[in-house]
Amino acid sequence: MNPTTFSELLTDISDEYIVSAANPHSKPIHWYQVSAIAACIVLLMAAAIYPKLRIQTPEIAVPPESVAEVITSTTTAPEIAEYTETQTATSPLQTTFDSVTATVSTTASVAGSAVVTETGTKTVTELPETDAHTKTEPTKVEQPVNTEQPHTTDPAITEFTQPATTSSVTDNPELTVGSIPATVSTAQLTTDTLQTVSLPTQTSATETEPVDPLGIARTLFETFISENHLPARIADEAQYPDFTEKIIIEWDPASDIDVEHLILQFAKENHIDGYLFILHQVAPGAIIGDSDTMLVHK
Amino acid sequence: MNDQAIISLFEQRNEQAISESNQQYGALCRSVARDITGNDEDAEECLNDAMLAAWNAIPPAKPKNFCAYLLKLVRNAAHDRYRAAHTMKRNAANIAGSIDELAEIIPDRGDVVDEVERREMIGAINRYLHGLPQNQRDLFVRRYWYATDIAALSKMFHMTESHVTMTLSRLRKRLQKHLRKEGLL
Repeated sequence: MNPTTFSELLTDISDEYIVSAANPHSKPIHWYQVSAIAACIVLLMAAAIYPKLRIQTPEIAVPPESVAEVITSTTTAPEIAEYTETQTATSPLQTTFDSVTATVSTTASVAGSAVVTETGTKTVTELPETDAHTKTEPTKVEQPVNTEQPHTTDPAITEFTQPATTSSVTDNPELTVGSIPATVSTAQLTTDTLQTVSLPTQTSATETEPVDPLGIARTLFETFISENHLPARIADEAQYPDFTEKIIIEWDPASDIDVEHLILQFAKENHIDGYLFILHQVAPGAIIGDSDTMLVHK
Repeated sequence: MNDQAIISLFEQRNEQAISESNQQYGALCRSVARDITGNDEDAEECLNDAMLAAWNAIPPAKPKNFCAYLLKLVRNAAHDRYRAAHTMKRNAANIAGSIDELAEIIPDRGDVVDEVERREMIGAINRYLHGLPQNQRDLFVRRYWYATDIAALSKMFHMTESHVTMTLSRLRKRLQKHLRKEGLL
């Protein structure tokens, strides 16, 4: 067989194939149809994706930053120096009183920034507003001060620590500025009824809910007093209009428990001492506060 | 007029059957003959030869597909003329190219083919064509039965000439593989 013969053989193939090939039906490719279909697909995809793109908001990456880091970063050397000067100026005031009670000295030893005033039959101890300086000062208090022991205060109250005159204060002078424990254990305290309370230690730039630090502090104090059955209470703020943005706590100094120290310790540990204002009785059974409507503690 | 009516005219020996066939399939038959013989005069003579052959065959022949029957008659007549022209070294048109392409897969072992081999070969080709997609089958038949040139095929099938050439090359290789598998090559 040769190719010519093979070509002649093809003559006898099936009639179906011959007729089919006589009028081949091959649809031409219409490129405008392809373009239109592609455009429709693009439009559909855009319609599906664009609304999602509009809804999405860019995420703001906020690095986790603890309170301690914030305070450390905001505490500068000039501010510390200014704070030291303030303390130096307020320290002699304490020495002008002939009878500084042990409670006062204790307060000074804890806070290191106490401003002591004495009016008549009671002593009012106020702690300054909490700022970076107070947060950076050392908070290591190993044991509560025995208020029964008479002692004197050193007129030269330094910035961070009570001098050796408060013998119950730890002797370890190594104090680190800027190291604030977020959660402080109170197991070292002599009172067994203390509990550990934690404050939220992180602040976020993206927080939208308003924060009421005073309310949080009040809740913490209330919880602390009630759970430890302290002879104290949070006074009605309306009765002390002069002390705004303060939590006024009334307590009975005649109790066996050193309530003021415990409250101060608690406030210190939870960094809410800036909102604290403490009233206490001088004599047992006296009326707390200036108002006659105040309750009388035992 | 449909094929059955034309066949009826042939059976009635009515000469109108020739004119109706020419009107119905004359153009198609001329194109087939022209692609094989390469000129219009030979194509016209091929068509006349095919019409005469149909007039002599019907009856008693009663083709099922009159179009294919007539096309086969035209193709045979055209091939006879092509063979005569090829013997006289006359250049034939499109059929020469298609035969050259077939020479790639069909070895030249003489032109004597017995009837048994012929029937087996036709059966194998039909099975091969049956296994092809219609588009490729039409392309193959158009090229190697109708002897249509590549340029016309590219327009007819909306393909580029290179695409047509490539497709035909693959079809030939597949046919060769098929015939070898059937033991005919």
